[in-house]
This record gives sequence, C-alpha cells and structure tokens, in this order.
Amino acid sequence: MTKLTDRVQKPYRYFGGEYNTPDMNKPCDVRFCMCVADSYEVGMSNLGVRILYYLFNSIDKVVCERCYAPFADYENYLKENNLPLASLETQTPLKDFDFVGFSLQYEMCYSNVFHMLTLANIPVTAEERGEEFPFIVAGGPCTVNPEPMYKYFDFFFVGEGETPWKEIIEDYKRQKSEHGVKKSDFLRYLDEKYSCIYVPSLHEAVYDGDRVKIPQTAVWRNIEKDMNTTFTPTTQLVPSMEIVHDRAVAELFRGCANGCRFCQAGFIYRPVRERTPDNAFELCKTLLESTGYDELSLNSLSTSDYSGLQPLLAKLIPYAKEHHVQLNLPSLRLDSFKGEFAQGNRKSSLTFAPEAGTQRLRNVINKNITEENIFGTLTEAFKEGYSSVKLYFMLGLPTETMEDVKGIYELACKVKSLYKQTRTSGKGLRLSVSCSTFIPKPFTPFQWCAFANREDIEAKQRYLSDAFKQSGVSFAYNDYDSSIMEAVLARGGRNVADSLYQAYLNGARFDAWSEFFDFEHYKQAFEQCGVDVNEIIRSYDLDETLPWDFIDIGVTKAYFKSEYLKAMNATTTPSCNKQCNGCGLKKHGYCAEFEGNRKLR
Amino acid sequence: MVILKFEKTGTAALVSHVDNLRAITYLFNRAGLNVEYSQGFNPHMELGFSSPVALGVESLSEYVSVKTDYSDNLIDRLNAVSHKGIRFTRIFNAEVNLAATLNRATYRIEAEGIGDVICEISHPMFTICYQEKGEWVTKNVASRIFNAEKINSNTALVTLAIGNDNLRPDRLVTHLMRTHDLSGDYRITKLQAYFNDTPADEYLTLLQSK
Repeated sequence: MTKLTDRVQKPYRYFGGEYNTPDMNKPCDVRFCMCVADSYEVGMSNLGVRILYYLFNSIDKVVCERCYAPFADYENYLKENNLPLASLETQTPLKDFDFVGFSLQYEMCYSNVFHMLTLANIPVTAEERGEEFPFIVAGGPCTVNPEPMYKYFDFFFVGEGETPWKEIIEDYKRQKSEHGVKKSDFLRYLDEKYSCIYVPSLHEAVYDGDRVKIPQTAVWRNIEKDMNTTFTPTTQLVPSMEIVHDRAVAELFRGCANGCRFCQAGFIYRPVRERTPDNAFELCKTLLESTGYDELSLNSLSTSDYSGLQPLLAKLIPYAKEHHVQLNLPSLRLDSFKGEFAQGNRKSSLTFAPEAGTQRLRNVINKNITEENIFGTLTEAFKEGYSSVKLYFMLGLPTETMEDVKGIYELACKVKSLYKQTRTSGKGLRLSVSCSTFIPKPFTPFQWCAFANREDIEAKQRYLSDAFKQSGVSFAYNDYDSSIMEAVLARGGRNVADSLYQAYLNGARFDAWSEFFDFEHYKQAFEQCGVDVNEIIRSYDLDETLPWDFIDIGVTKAYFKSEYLKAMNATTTPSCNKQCNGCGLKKHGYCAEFEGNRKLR
Repeated sequence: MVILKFEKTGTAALVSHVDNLRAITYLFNRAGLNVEYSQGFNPHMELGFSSPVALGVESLSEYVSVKTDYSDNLIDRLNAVSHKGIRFTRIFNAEVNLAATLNRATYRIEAEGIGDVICEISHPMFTICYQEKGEWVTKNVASRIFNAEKINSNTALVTLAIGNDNLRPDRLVTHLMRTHDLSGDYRITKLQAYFNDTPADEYLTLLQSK
C-alpha cells in the first residue's frame, strides 16, 4: 500500500472507505457498478448517482459499488502492475459485474468512458462484447441524444431512474435465478417492457443519403411523479477527502418553470415537482445528522422559485444556527429572502446571470431578468456591505449583434458606478465578468440554430477583452475549441460515433478539464473518420428530422417551434407558474397547474 | 479538555492530515458531541492533533484533543459512527498541546531485507537522500533517530523524532531500499508515540491524575 502512495496522488480516490457505505458483504445475486467518467471529486458530488447508488443497495440481494476515471498516475500504476480497473468498495474488476452503468452528466466526459472500459479490459463496442461481459449501460441528461454513443452501450436509460431502475434490477435478478440470463434475450425484454429504455442494437437507423436520421422507435423520458414519495436517500456518503461539493445536499424540487430558451435542463427536467417544506426540512435534518456535515446546500434549478422557501427557511435557519451549520442556497435571488438570511451570513460574492447584454436579447432567450431587477438587488446588497459581484453572460446567442456585446460592457460599467454611489465601506468593488459560448442543445427552442463560427466568437471575445482591460474588471471566457467540441457531441448523430472512439485512441481524455483538453485529438479523428463538423453545427430547417427526434421528453416539437418563432420576434413566454403555456406535458397529466406544483397525477 | 487516542489504518491511512481533520470534525458531529467552537469570523471546532503521519503510514497511536465534557461512554459513541480505518481506543481527561509535546514515535517497518540493513541508521554520521519538490536533498539525520532494532530479516523497529525537526519514516525506508537495492512493497505502522522517553499513554495518565 505504501508504494502506491509514493506514486499516486490522493490514492484515497481509488479505494474509498467513506462513512455511510452500505453493507457490501450481504448475500448478493446482482452486482452493479456505478461509474462516473470523471474524477472521484467530481463524480462523488453528483446527486443522481448518489440516489441510484442507495436505491440499488436498498434492494435485497443487490450490491452496488462505484468507480471513477483514474488520472494518469494511477492509470500507469494499474498498467505496470497488470491490474484491471476495479470498483472502490471491494476492488472487484469491472468486468465481473452484471451491470456497469455510466452516468453521462455532460458530453465532454465521453472520452473517459472509453478510457475506463479500456482500463477494465472490456471491449468498447457493444457488438464485441460477448456473454462474458456485463451490460454496459448509460443514464443521465446526455441520453436525451444518445446517438453519438449508440454503438458503445448495450442500452440507454432516458429520464429519471428511481422507479423503473428498481424494477429492471428485480426483473434481472428473477430471470437470473430462474433460468440464467442471455444478454440478447434480456435486451429484447427490456426494449419491449420499458418505454424509457433504448437498445440501439435493436433499432436500425434510417438513412437520408449518407445522413443518419433516426432509429425507428420512440423512447419516452421517465418522469417521477411525486418527490415526497419517490425514493430519496436519507443519507449520503461522507468521503475523507475533499470533493467538489463537500456538503449535505437536499433536493428541493425538480424541473424549472422559467423556460429560458437556451437552457436544456429547463426542458428535459420538466415539470416542476416540489417537496413539501416539511418533507424538505426532515430531509435536511436527517442528512445533517447522519453525515455530520457542517454545511448544507438546498438544491434545485432555481431555488428562489420554490413555493415553500419561506416556511422552510423559518425552520431551517434556527436549526442551522444551533448546530453550527452553514447554509448554501445556490441559484437564489437576494430579493426573495428580504435581507433576513443574508445578514446572518458572511458577505460573500453575489452572482447574477443576465446571460445577454441587452433587454432585446434577453427577451429572445426568454431570460426574464431586467436591469431594474439586477440594480434593485445590487443597491440593497451594496448598502449591506457586499463588495464582490460576478456576472455571467453568453456569446454567440441567436440574433446577437455587436450592440448586444457592447451591452455586456455597458452593464458592467453601470454596476461599477452604482457601487460608487451606494457603497458603505471603503473597499473597492471586485467585479468579474464571465462569457461562455452558447451551444444550441437538443430539446431547446434553439435546437435548429447554428453554433457560432470561430471568427465571430473570437472577435467578440477580443472586443470585450480590450474593453475591460483598462476598467479593473476581470474578464474570463471559454476557449472556442472546447465549445465547438461540446456542440458536436451534443448535436451529433450516429455519424460521429466512430470519430469519438478514434479521438480517444488519439489521446483524448478528461476533456472537461481545460488542462487536459486538446482539440487536435478530435480534429485528427474527424479527418480520419470523414466527419464534417460544419454539417453538425450548421442551422437546421424547422422541418428537418433531427438525430434526437425519436426521444420523447414530453415537450412537443410543435411547442419548441412556436418558442423558436417567438424568440426570433423577441417575444417572451411567462413562467409556468403564471400560466400553462401548452408545452405538451399537460396532456400526460404533468403540469405545474395541478395542486400548486406539488403533485402530479 | 478531553484527549482521545485513535487508530488510523487501512484506507484511512491514505487520507492526508488536513482531510483527516475535516473527517474527524464530521465524525464528532455525528456522535452529537457538544464541542466548544472557536470565536471569530469563521467559527470552527477547536481540535488539536498530534503531529501528522506521512500519507500511507498506518498508525495505532494518534491523538486528538477536543474541548468537550469527559464521559466514560464517549469511546463507544464515537466508534459507533466512525468511518473505515478510524477506531478510538482510549480517553484521557487532560489538558495538553499534543503537537508540541509528543516528540518521538516508534514505527514498525516491513520490507524484504530491511531488518538486515537497519543497524546502519544508528551510525552518528548517518545521512539520507530524498527528493523534495523535484530536488535531491542530503541530510544528516542521526540526531532524529533514537533507536533501531532488527526483529527479523524483513521487519525492523525504529524510533524517530516527530513534530519539529522530525524524520519521516517513509523517507528513511525509501532511502534504505534505494541504497541497498531492495525491491518490492513496504509497509510502515506507527506503534507508539512518546514524550521524550515516556510513552504517550503513560504521560497522559500522569497528567490526568494531577
């Protein structure tokens, strides 16, 4: 063991031993290995993985373990000692599990999937994997467009997993004990029984010339109905090393009512389903007591929209004070708690995401935040002594002109002069502006839009960089290469699949980490495999079939079209909390209108 | 003030000192310990640890001081909620700065052939070479070595300085393995901490009775 510590940084990453690890020695018939194709620190912070991990381990005779992508030092250690990649808990090689599941949280992790399978001595394509290998499966938000990875997974699970996954594992366990499981039979069984499962090998693609259109199947995104009764772990693993989100995390609600047109999460997690404030408070309490964490984060896509925020905070704030717990409320607007909460805490920095520099463009993207909102909140905050502000924007949004880009600079200048007028301390303002590059994602009204070209984005980045140089504002932006890669991975169809594995062979891994990402690996792979990137990032006709059209997330294509047309006219759509906008979920009984968001029928 | 003795073995030995501090804080929270917090801008649990062990070194003799009330069942309460590799073994009702007081430790070293070469470290001019931030450093460490004993060919016991002017046992072992061409894995276990010649447990018991 000691030799390892001489060679490998933070070896705890690969062995675990976290508090609250379930019983790994119970009698078991089914073994599942839950993988995140990123580092331990990132993977351990994911809430979805956490839920399924405890769900699987709660099933009789089922054991679920974990595995994360190793860095180069441990990769070399494994290779030199001829060891296959293994699970943390019992150091079982991945190929000895019944299922190896990858949570695809973002597209840039795809190369690490190949990396992990290769280190585990498992063939990467489903076709090459015989009966002796486990089912290699994928879930998570990226499965709304599974096609770029279609040949590498035996099946994809689309949507929220709590209810169907339990059934799938029970089915497998029963069949295995009764007559053993033949992989191809079980895949056919899954394909017939579960509408949220996509088995690519059973569905031929339809070709339009040499362009792959869609497989002939419809896959329905699973939506859990009631957050108060759906499986929720009442505890979480407590690692002995620091991870990205090293705190207790309670999910307040799923979905988001705002309908920002650039935001994929705003559509693929619809509709809003809230926990009751009592349920949320009990969850917070048991999480804190069972983990010993001294920090709690209330999680959701937009915490300030939570209808039970006031009653929850009324109980939670005194509890936190008494138990020395620091509360974190990400995605929270300052005006939604009227100062009472802010004053009790450290005056850390305030973050706003206006996303666009002018009101016109904010209307296009349906980001319902006005300058009055921002300046109203900032005036209050500056009076209370806040002196650090972060502003987030996107470049390359549909219909964007230089006027909108100038608007970013002007908005920052207005924040500076507001601070001069209202500040109460002698401290100078720390203002930082970050501009990411907009990526038109599937299942958004902008799915038909082109990804901006390099000259356009780099000119805008240069303009802002020059403008901010003399102003004392720190300015950061995303590298174009990584953005275009994300666009290709998100929008591609079956035609990019080969090039992704080729890029791994060329050396790609940890692409989400700027220090490891190298666009050359992909550029070469596209050439080697004859992939035309421009064909993927171009704008699409509204009537064109898109590679992800066969996935039904519940929001209709007609709704996306109408939202797209409204966007082009800079017309906004109100929040689902104000009115039903007819996105299509209502006809399935899924809509915020029912019982004040809380329950679905 | 209460002093708790604990073991840090298995995967817990892969946890750095700073991370261990955080993990122990969470452990005390889980046990519902009523601990005194520091005053000031960023209140935190006031804990005092004995000098850190190097990453990968297992220990049967770690100590932490905590401002809480003494109770006999504290050990059981803590062990009921402790994570893998951490086990509390003794409790003392004493007030002491552990890091400043405990200044020696005995380690068991296991590596093929290590017992046969261990006597050389008792030489008054004994120096070791090790890499620090990519640079090779040579240092006379004789004053930091208090005892060396062969148990068998593959096992030795050494007593080294801890705290200020310490000698890391992993550096000593890798130096010996390199210079004598010993290959294979090695394992180090901290068996006992001392205040000068007095074993820590004995010293803390004495403090307690005062």
